[in-house]
Amino acid sequence: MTRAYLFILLGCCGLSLWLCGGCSYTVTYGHFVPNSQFAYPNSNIKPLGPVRAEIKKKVFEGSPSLSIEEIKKCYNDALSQASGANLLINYREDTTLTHTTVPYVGTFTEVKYVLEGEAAQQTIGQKHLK
Amino acid sequence: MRKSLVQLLMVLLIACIVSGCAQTIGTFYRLGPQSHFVYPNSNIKDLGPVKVKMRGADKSDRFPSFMTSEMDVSLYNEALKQVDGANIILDYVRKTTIKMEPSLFGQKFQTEEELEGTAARMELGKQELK
Repeated sequence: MTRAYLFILLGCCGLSLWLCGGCSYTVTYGHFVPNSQFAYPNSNIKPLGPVRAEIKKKVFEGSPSLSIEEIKKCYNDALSQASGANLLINYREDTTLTHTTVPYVGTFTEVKYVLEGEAAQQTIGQKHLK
Repeated sequence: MRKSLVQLLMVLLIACIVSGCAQTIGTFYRLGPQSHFVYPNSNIKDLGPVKVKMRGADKSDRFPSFMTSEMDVSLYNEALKQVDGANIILDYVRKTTIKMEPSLFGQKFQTEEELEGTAARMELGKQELK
């Protein structure tokens, strides 16, 4: 009787672990974007090299969201990796949500926002127009 | 004889469920002036028309996959490969089709991408500004 109970308990644990592994899914939404800021036609733009920045937030039982300030901070973090950079060009911008359900516990959701592209410096001047 | 006929019908039914009943659940369009950043201090030369069609890499069974930067980059790169020396696609039309394929275990979503535009070569320089 005790042995049968132990088998049932072990079976339940195994099933829980299997369920735990099977209840995680990820959704990504994003784009490839030519430029982060307006590029003035009366400017020279110099590429400065690749940069990458990301921000993550995880919550239990709910949907995490990032504030505009956090997104701006992430953008500024990316720019700060190249001295003199004031815009990003040819960059990827992806937001990934990962939901993980732990049986008998609940659901954890993580949001990850990633910026990856090339930092550049724009110097605005004046064109001669007729 | 009757048993064989029933078996044949079953096989045909399963084949139909698994692969034969794919249906389009949505088609979306996007017009774009350029795929990559256009430097104001550059010269751009048209190289010719390009047309590409590809399937999204992932097959999701929960919901249609969202747009990601990876899909954008793959599609642009596939189009650029068609013309030697091209590094930008201009004046493009993009068509995204989402299909749903019923299967024995639920359904699968598949994304198809089409892109038509003009391949071009951008050469970077420096413009004289006051």
